[in-house]
Amino acid sequence: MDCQSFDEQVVRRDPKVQKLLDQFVCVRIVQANGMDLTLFQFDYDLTFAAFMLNADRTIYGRYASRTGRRQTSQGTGIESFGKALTAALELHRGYPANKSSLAGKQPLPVSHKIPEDYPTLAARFGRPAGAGVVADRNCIHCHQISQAQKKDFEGAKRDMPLQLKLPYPMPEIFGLGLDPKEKAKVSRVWDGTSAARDGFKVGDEILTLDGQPMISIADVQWVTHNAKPPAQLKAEVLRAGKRITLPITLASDWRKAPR
Amino acid sequence: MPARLPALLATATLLVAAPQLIAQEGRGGLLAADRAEAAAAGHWIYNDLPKGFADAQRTGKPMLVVFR
Repeated sequence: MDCQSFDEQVVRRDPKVQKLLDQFVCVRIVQANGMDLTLFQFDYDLTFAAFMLNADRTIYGRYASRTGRRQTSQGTGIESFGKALTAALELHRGYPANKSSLAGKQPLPVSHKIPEDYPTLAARFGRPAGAGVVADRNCIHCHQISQAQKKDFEGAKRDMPLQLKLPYPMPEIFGLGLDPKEKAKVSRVWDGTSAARDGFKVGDEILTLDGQPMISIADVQWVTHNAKPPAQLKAEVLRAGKRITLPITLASDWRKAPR
Repeated sequence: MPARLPALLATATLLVAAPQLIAQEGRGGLLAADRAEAAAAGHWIYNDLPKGFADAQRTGKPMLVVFR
C-alpha cells in the first residue's frame, strides 16, 4: 500500500481502526512551524509519522513510514497501525505503573527546541505565530528540519554523525525483516547476517527491546537509531508461545553495512 | 465526511510531499480550505497541538498525533 492510501484510511477512520481511534484524542499536524522538537523526534524525511502519547507528554509509541505516493510501504498498513493503537491503549491503561518501562521511549535532549531555532529556518521563516495554519509560503515542512539539521553541521564545519546521515535504518540492514502487518514480528532473516547470528527466526515476535515495549517497527527503529554502537541490545522475544531472550548486535558501522 | 476528504488528503500530503509539489502556487488556498473541511468533519483536531493536549487532559484519553 502506498503512503497516501494508508493516510486516507487513517483520516477516514477506516472501519478496521475506527473504534480504536475513538479512544484517542486525534490531532493532525500538516505544518512543522513551531513543532516541539523536544518532544517530537523522528525521521523528518518520513512521509507519515504518528505518536501515541499521554497528556503529560509521556510517549507510548511511534508509527511511521518514509515511502512515497507510488511506492509500496515497507513499514505501514492499516493492520499494523491498528495493532499499534491497541498496544498503545494497553500501555495507557497500565500507566503510570508502567512508566519505568517507557523511559527509553522518551525524547532525548536537543540543541534546537523548534525548527525556527535552526539559523537557516529562522532566516527564512521567522518565529512561529502560534497554533493554526500559517500562510502558504511561510509553511515549514518536516523534511526542511532534516535539511536544517544537516546545514547546521556544514556551517559549523564539524563532521556530520552517521546518525544524521543515515537516520533510522530499517531492521533489514542487519538482516531482520519485520512483517508490515504486525507490530514487530519477524518475517524474514537473511542468511549470514547479524540477525541470523543473533539467533532470530521467522515468526519471532519482539515484545521488548532494550527494556522498551515494542508496538511497531518504528519503535524498533527508535531503539536501534539511538543505540551507541557497537552495541548488543537485549530483545525479549515470543517464540512458539514461549518467551526467550535474544541479542540484537549492532556493529560500529551497522548503518552503512547492509546485513 | 467522505465528500470532503479529497481536498483534505491532497492538502495534507503537501507537508511532506515532493518539494516540487510544495512549491506550486495555490497551496495556501488549499490549506485554508483543508482546515475548514477538517474542522467541519470534527474527527480531527487540526494543526492545534495545545488543544489536543487540553482535550486529552480533560477526557483522560491518550493522544494520537499524526504528522503528514
